[in-house]
Amino acid sequence: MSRQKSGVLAAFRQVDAATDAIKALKELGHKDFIVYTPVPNVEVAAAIGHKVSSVRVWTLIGGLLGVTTGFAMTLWMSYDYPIVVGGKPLGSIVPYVVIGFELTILFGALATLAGVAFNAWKTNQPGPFDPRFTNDTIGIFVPCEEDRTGPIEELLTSNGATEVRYES
Amino acid sequence: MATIAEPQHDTLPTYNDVTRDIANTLGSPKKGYYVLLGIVLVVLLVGAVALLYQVRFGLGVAGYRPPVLWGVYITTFVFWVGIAHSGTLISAILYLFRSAWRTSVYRTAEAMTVFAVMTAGLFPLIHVGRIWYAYWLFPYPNQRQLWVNFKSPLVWDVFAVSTYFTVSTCFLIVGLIPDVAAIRDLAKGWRKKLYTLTALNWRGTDQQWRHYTRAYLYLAALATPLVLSVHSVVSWDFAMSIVPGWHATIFAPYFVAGAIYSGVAMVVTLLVPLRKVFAMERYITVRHFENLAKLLLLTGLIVGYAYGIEYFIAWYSGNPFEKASFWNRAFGDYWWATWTMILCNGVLPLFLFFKKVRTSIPALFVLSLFVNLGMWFERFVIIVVSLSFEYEPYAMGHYTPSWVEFAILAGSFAWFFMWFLLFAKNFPTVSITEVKEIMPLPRKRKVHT
Amino acid sequence: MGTRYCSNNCSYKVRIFNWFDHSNENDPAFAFPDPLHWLLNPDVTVRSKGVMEKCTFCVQRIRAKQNDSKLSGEPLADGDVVTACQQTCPADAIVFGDLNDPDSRVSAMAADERGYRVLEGLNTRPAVTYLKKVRNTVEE
Repeated sequence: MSRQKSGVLAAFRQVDAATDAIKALKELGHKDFIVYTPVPNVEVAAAIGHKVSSVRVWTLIGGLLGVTTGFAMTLWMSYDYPIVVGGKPLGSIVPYVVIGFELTILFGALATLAGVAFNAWKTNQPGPFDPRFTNDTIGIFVPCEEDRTGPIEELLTSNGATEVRYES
Repeated sequence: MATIAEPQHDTLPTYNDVTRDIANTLGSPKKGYYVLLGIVLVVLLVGAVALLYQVRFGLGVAGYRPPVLWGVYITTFVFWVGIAHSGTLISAILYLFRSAWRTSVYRTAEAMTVFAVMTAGLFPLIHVGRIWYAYWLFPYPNQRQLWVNFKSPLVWDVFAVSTYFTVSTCFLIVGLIPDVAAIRDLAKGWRKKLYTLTALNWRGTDQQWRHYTRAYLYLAALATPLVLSVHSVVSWDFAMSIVPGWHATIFAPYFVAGAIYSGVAMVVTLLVPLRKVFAMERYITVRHFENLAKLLLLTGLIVGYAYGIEYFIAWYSGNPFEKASFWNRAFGDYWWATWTMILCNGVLPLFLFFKKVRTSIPALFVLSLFVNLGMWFERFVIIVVSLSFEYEPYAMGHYTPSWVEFAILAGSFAWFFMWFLLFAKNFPTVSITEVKEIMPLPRKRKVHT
Repeated sequence: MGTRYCSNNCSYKVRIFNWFDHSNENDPAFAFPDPLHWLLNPDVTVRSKGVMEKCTFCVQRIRAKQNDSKLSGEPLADGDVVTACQQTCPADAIVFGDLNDPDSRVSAMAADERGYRVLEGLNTRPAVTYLKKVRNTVEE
């Protein structure tokens, strides 16, 4: 969202080295660092300690909206043009369960998509990137001013970073 | 995930190997690829011409003969919907069960799902009398102030299949995003632009993964009941009616098992050549095929059991119409279709009890072709044979498909393979991210297990 | 739009599908070249290809009589509506009427002990009741 920040970008080959560095950064009070991983990693996620994503609320709301739409639509349409089919009541709940169910899934899935798109946009962290981060390297970017890189570089290297550089 | 940690550490590929090996399968196709694509396009063209001919002159050009008003088209529709199901089984259900072996086969299966639903979705349209009014299937405000009949299983089908298509496409695309990003960071030229666009600014940051992994989990959790519902709804098209041979409560589980059975067979049919051409032996191993074969055996046994129960109930119910219908299936005009189905689906999978067959890739490939054939005939038997022999002897008839139907059937395979061929050369058919995910990253400290 | 599902579910197979475009003059399947067009009923549309057809108990005649009664204000009496098959049957073997009206002629005949309905056991409750032929089983 804002202009790209400057800071220290470090590369890690070992997962426990990265988690050590993350824990050390947190102890020093850093909050706005970015961790790049090629795959979702449980240890890294635990070290960062984010709260559970709010995507699940989107899924729930989408699903509830779907089931409501499914039953409301079928019932309203049945009474809007009343025609008796097969001797069954105009608004037959049992066959409408199928529609209600399918729309629950449909709306739930679309809301999940919308939720992940919205949350990813809202929590987007601009920062430098290296193509190796989608391959086999874990990256950590710590935003900071140019004159204060020393201790951060030192911390990252001591925890096992294979490469540390300043990006502006 | 624990299953992968201990065996053969020295032969395990590194993360870098995975990215390189899978990215190498993309781009710059050889001559053979274009030949295949050419054949597929020609067959597709023949199918399209046949369809236009049918639209111009009416459905009479197909071989329908009352009382058989559902024929090859609906058979093929059910066949392709069924094929789709195993993809979601492997990608969503096994994901929830945390089966590590699914990672290297699920992408192919999932792409197959989407393309199979795309193929299946054409057939109800090809089948109806006035294709140009196909949008009547959806409830939309119109000047007749009329709504669709929500009590009809056909309308349920519309909702089920379109939901299935939407959700499985979402699932495939969401799964592809990190992979496309991985390829983006290797690619050059116009492909780089394509992947930059389709990776949607994916960088694998902690926030992105945080939302992504949750969303993927919920999509899988939504797709799981969906896949079971879709073929149940398809089976209710038949079970809700009054036709002897259709009106049975076993239909929903029977169809779902049959769908997964045929779909796993199609996965095997696709994976065997794909593994060979793309040199994926390191990722898709005999163990994967053996697991697929076990799935095939399990669902095959359920299908075989359902066949048995159908005949048993026809006798046990004491319903003379039901009894006559099943007698006609086995010994009537269409005896050859019934016995093809029983042989391919009921008898041949029994060979999978032998480990030798399960671990032999040529044997599995041949078997999977037979299962595909058998499952098409199963739907043919259920639909055509039941309809041709109902209640009143004056209303019985014999149906033989015409060249138009065969051309469109062949065209449907061409349509499916066209999409699959295009997909295979442009997007990773083995998931880069998920294959890596089950492999341990290097550590500075030793882990004690 | 022509799914033909209704025909599958019809245990009597009385539904007929328009396989070709019989009503279109420019189609090779056109069924009513001169002078055959004279046999068409102006009150009934000949539908295009891809549409299912069935006997409607001459719905156009029913509607016409209903409109007449609405205009005149007199309720429809039993026997007012005569279907085409009934009109042309020389033996007067066909009776049409309101089965919901217990006093109509057709209700009385349907309740006759000779009455039977085709495939009654399926509980399809057809609107057509046939009367069984009377045979002298003692002398035969």
